[in-house]
Amino acid sequence: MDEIVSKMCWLKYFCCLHLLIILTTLSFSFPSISYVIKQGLIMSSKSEPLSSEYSNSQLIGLSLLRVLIGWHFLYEGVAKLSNPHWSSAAFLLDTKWALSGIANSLVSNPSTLNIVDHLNMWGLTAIGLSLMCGLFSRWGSLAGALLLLLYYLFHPPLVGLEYSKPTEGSYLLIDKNLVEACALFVLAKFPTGHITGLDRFLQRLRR
Amino acid sequence: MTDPSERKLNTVSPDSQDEPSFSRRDIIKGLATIPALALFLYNYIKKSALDSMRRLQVMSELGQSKKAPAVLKSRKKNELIRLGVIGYGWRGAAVAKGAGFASPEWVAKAREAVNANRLDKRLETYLSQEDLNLELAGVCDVFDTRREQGIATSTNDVRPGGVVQSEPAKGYRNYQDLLASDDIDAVIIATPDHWHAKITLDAVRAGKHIYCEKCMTRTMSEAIDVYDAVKKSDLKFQLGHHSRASSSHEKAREMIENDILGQVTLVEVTTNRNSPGGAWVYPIQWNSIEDVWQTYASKEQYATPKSLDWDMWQGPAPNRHPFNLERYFRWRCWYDYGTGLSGDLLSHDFDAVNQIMDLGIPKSASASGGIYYYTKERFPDLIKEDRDVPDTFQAIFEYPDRGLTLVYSASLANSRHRGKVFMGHDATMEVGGGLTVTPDPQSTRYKSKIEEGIINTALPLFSYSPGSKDIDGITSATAKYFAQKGLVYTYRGGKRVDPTHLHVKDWLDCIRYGGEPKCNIEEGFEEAVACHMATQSYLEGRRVEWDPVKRKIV
Repeated sequence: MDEIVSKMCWLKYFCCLHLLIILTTLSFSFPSISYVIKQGLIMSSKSEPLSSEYSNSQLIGLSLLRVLIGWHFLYEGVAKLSNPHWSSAAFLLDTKWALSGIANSLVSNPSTLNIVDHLNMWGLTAIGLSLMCGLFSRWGSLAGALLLLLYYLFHPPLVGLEYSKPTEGSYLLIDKNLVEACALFVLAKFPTGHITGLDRFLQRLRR
Repeated sequence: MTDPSERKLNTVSPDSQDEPSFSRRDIIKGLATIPALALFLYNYIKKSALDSMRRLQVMSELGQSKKAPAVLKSRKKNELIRLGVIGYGWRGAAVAKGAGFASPEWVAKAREAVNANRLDKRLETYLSQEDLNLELAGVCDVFDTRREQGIATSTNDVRPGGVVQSEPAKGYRNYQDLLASDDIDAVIIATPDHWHAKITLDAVRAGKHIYCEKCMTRTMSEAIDVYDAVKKSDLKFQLGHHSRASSSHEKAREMIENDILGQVTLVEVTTNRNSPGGAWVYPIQWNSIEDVWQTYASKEQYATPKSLDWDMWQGPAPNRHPFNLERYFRWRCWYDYGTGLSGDLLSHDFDAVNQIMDLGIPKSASASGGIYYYTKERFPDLIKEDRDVPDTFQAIFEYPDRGLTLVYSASLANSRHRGKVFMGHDATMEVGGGLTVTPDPQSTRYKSKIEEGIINTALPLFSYSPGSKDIDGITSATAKYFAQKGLVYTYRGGKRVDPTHLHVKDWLDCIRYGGEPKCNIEEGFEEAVACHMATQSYLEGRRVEWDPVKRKIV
């Protein structure tokens, strides 16, 4: 039994290492991604200028991405809010890998489960609204990226992990949550809310 | 970053004025994405309206509300009822727990389980049971250890309601002494089947109310005697089909009453188990004894000819055998004591279908099967004496008046789950811990709705899953099997409840306030006759019929 447990531990570390290597290789092999990451790092270390200049097509692309992701978040949130039977418990109980212990303790206590449920429902809705309207959109993007990263970490599609809830696609290490999280990270670093969103008025009022 | 060729100014226009003022450009750009929100809202409202219209149409078609069965009302506390338990094996202990008396061993195990897995709600469910205002006044068992466990249970201080009984229960080796005692009002009979009829008849004579485990009797003639005796008395009789308290069964009955399935021509019920324990081959250590539910702390507690009154235990069994641990612990494997798959497990399903559809006694029964897996040849270390009850068993009951066949199919060597399925012309209903109703693509009643796209035949028309917001730590395969069958827990008002508790409470309520228990002597008799018909058909290798005038299986 102990042997199996220690083997499983090794498997976890192995998978983690694997993931890191793949992500690093990807980021170096695609100049654009490495550029995005570098730019993001530079921008987050500086005071992040907001008056970034975009060409029309860039602005349209980024704004469209923001609205589409916002739409997705908003409907996920509203659909959960309008379903009295929805609970995150089934998702959390199906958690695998490093965070399964945390997930189990969240589920085992009805009040923490209730908090998690509400954070999810309202969090998704608020992030959705923020992205769609372009209001506090940089915070919305970051919060959305973080939430998606959490979903990813609770259900990482690692080799050897099987989930009882069927996925709607085929994934190997990378799933749609991670891709969407990455897109939101890009949106946080290339914000548009202050141009095509309510942030524009906020910025003007502050000035 | 930007392509110089198409670079245009897409920034907030530098406005150096003190008062913020918004240009037309600001307003157009700042509100640029708001139409998307409007589009979202428009589509969301459209989708919600469509969904609720569909749901309403389907619901009104079905005459259904999504309501769960009502929460049981707690009536005012009334007079104390003094209980006696006859047969304190695992089932006796389970019924006593349902009545509010869990053994210290059970509490210790449940505590351990909670410590190991916080999702395990056994203890919580037990402690939140209603206090039924009972006294466990007497415990009878022919095996000293079990009797002593029963006595220890009576003063256990971990109880729903927290009231601890001051005096321990009296112990009896002979049930006649328990029945003769004036300080017992009602008895729970949880002995092997061969004792059910005799003890029930004696209890009626002694004027005690009766909660008797299934199968009601071991033989057909006993069933007639018990029926007549109970009918003549004004005592409350409840047969221990605790799944009667399952909320999904009540919902299923509503479906039938509202004729949602159309004419049901076939009902299929099943048993699927695949472990020695599930096939009643409980572990016995040959120099000592340890059954599935009870571990004994010392050798003195094991069953020996001294600690177990073997002659008394055999009692009305048709054949006598020398002291035999296998026959004692695994009595369900022999027709001398039990009723095989028919009375032991088919009885649950038959009673469920009878509860849902009021089927009554079938016109005919044919059964077949065999002992195909649990043989001493295959399990030389586990089995010393071959069983005479089948481990694979199928029974077919005909109800020509209702235009319906009831099929029971059981294997004790395969655990693939097959639910209780009610097949109607318009829809199929599957009942377990919850239920689903799926429309039939060829349905006449739903034809137009299917064509209009309001009803989707790929999806259930209706589903009911009690406690879906609640999470249970159901662990073992057998526990899961029971949960699917709705035998372990059911839900009232979203709260998990032990159906045995509800079933015992139903019986006690009838004793206190009048009324007929949910599984009274009528339903008990129908169950017993159907089971005995299947057994007789199997044993005689022919189709048998029920003669309602002579009250005989012919």
